[in-house]
Amino acid sequence: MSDHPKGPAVLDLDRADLGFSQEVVEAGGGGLRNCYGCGACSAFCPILPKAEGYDPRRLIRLVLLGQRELVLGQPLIWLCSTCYSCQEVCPQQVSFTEISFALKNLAVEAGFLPSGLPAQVDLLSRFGRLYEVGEFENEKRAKLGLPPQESQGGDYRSLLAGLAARLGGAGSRPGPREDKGGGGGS
Amino acid sequence: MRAAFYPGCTVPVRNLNYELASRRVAEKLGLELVDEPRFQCCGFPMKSLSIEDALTLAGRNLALGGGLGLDLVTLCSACAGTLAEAAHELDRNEELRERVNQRLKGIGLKYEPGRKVFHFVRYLVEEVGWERLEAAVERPLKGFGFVPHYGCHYLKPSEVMERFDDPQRPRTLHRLIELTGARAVEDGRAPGCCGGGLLGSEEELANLLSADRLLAAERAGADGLALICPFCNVMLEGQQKKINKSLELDLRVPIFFLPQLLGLAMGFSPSELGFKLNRIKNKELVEAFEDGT
Amino acid sequence: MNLFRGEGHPLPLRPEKRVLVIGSGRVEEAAAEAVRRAGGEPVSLKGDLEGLSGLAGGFRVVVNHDGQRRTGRVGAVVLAGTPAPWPGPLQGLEELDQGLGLSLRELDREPEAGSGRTALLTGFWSRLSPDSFGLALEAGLRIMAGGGLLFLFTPQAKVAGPGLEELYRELRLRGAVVTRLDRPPALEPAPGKVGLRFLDPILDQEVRLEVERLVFDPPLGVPEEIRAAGLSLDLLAGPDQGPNPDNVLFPPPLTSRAGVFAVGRGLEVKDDRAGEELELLTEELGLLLGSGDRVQTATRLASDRRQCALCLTCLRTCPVQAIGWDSGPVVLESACLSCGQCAAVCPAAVIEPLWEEEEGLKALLLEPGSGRLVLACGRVSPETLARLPEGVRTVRLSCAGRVSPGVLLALLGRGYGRVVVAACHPGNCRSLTGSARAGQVVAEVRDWLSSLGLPASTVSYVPLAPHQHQRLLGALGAEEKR
Repeated sequence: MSDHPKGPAVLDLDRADLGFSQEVVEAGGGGLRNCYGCGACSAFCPILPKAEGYDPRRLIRLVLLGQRELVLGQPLIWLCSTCYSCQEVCPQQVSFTEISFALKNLAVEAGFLPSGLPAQVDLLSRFGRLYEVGEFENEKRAKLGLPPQESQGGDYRSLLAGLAARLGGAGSRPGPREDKGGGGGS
Repeated sequence: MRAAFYPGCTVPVRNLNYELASRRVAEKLGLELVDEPRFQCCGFPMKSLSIEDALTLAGRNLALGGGLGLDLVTLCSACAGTLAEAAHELDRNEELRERVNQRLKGIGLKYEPGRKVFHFVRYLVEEVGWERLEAAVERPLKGFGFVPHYGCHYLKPSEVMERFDDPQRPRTLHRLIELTGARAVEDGRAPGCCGGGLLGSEEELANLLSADRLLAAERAGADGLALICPFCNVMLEGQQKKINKSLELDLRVPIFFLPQLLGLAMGFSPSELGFKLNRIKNKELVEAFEDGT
Repeated sequence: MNLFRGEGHPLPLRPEKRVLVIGSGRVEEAAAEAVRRAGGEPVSLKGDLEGLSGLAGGFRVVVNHDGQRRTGRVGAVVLAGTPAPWPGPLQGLEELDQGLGLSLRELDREPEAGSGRTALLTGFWSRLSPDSFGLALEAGLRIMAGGGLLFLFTPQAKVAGPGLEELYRELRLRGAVVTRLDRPPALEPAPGKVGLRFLDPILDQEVRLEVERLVFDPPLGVPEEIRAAGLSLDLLAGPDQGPNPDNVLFPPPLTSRAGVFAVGRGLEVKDDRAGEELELLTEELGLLLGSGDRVQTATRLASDRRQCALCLTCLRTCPVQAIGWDSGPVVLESACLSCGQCAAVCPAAVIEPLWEEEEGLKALLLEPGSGRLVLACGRVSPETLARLPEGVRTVRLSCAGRVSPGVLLALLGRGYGRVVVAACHPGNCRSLTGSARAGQVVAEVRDWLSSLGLPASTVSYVPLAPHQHQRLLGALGAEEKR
């Protein structure tokens, strides 16, 4: 059983977007084309044995074969835990973790995004951090002799304004997370 | 020695024991941690949305450190990783630096290359040094054994971290545990990921990753896991109950922060190190060192 | 690895300068030139080569010319065949539209390739080598320079040659899509274009695409006369029946027989590669034909001539024919590989190897032993041996081929409970036949043991790559040393 479809039975490269790999390179996945498919990344990935269908080498291949819709639309690309093990063992500096981030960025631009993320943008814009630090928190700190902390949204609101605007527009399209029925990626 | 203390989002609110123990240990070792109230989120959560925006947020914090003329020291591995990577990128890529500085200009800041970021533990090992650490130990934690949990961002990407410890077979935390007089217990697993980055979106998957580590630690007969990251704490301590429930396990692995163990060995009492806030306790350890005995 | 180590060679005292060159075409001419540069005298073959005996430097050659048999002496033999292209369509490409398929050589002659998609197929029909792969990579870059999109298909990426890794990487960085397949992609109908279909090995999914044209590397064959000569000279043939044995330790122009060389492989690829082979030929010949008086010294093998039964088994066994005949067996020391197969097969145990590893073996046979024993060939890595558990005895052999049934049984007689012979993979053996022979010997002894009701696993043969410690541990039934 799989929530992560393999895609069509036959991949037709005439219907593929062969410029996709260039797009990913420009979005931050600079080492993408170095890959020659050795599979070391997949061998060291801690997610692969626990999530069906998740396979770094496979994802890279799909990108190289121009499968834009398939890759960006899948929940799979969001499963990377950013542990960097793949990058450590790659013999060709492919930096799959960075490619993962680039794919996530592109997915967000295309309107796919997990529901929790826009909320985080909001939190940072308001507090400059994910957990507001107010009186209550500072009292607890003071009891232990720790100096107070301050949440300051100001700078972050302006620095993240562009991103918030981009998300505001695209956020209406439900991402793969909402479409999923059932539990996590087992 | 002076360094700018970078708190991050999580530690100052959810892991006061970690912060407390670290500050005490730092003081004892002669390291002055300078607070900068304007430090805010390192940008890690934003990376999935926009790499460059995340870099910009990191750059802001680095610029603040620059303003103090100090290197940054942090307790959170994810922050250390994010900030170190940002410094690495901004130092190498001039165009990127210009774009980021263009945006930082609007808030009155500028990033100058050369800002160094350390995880607190790396700072202890590299800057404070083993000699001084050894000299500070007053009562060894004899008879106890802990599994060091390195996590991911403390060591990797190794290029950014200047390979200060081997990403496949790291030793620094092992040595620190041994320095306290305790045993560094091998649980037979390679340094692994706790899954913390996925907790928000894939709880079950994250639980599976942490479960592996907890099981291995328990099987190895350790007195607990020694951590150096609040995310790892959220998973390995915070999620233990849920993991037990959903995977039908009966785990009970005490969780500590490494500076707490260092602090005990240096003569602080458990309450001075925030042990009350540790949620899964090891009674023996606490009782053995209560009130300076 | 230089087959001829040391300066000159000790036997014969005055090597024959004449060198027999067999072949035709421009490679033959170039080889003759190379011989002259080495100080030799090229002689062409007139008639059929019937036999070659003796040792390098002083071969006796028998030629049949129109029914007349002539004999002569030559110092060396050079096979110099000009490869010829295979005629006809290639397997799998029979349906390919003439105008849409190009060989690499034709591409060479064509003006800049246009834009559009090109499929480049290399290594499916011709001998895979770093040289041939390099040629394909260069062609690929030229195609992409013209603005085209490239799809490269190959069974293997052979990058073990100067500059090839960088070339391969350059190709990938420019956006070529590389796919590794065991067989060429299947052709599909596609009017005006070339339709391809293949099973992607990474995705495990069928993929199809259409390209504007298909470029391939044509196979070049070994000329018949060279193939025949190789047979009559008892050469170990390569996978395409060519005279070079395709063993990485015996690169062209070396063959499996000392004093016999083969050039022309390089021409398959590029003219300047043929030039490299010819340079090497000059070097090797120069060493072989170097003159001067030298006394034969016995540094590799000693033999008790009085015990010798003159059966010539050693002569026939030597993988490089370093043993010859001169009123009794003689050894061309400079060609000897120290593999010990001659000593292993000698029925009268007359041959005594003099190299270092032999001391270890002698000691083993003299002292009592027990438990597990590993006889490891010289190429098993020290790291592998370091992982063997305590209590396992290890002894180095120069080559696994040194092992004979007598040696194995004697060791069992000394008290060892389990003997493992660790060798290189047979195709990679540095003495060409040593590993395979060791395998045969072990199989024979296991047979004997079984028929005596004893466990065959008492002796075993493990071919492995230098660092494959798990295989060795598996054969010992052992756990790694912690």
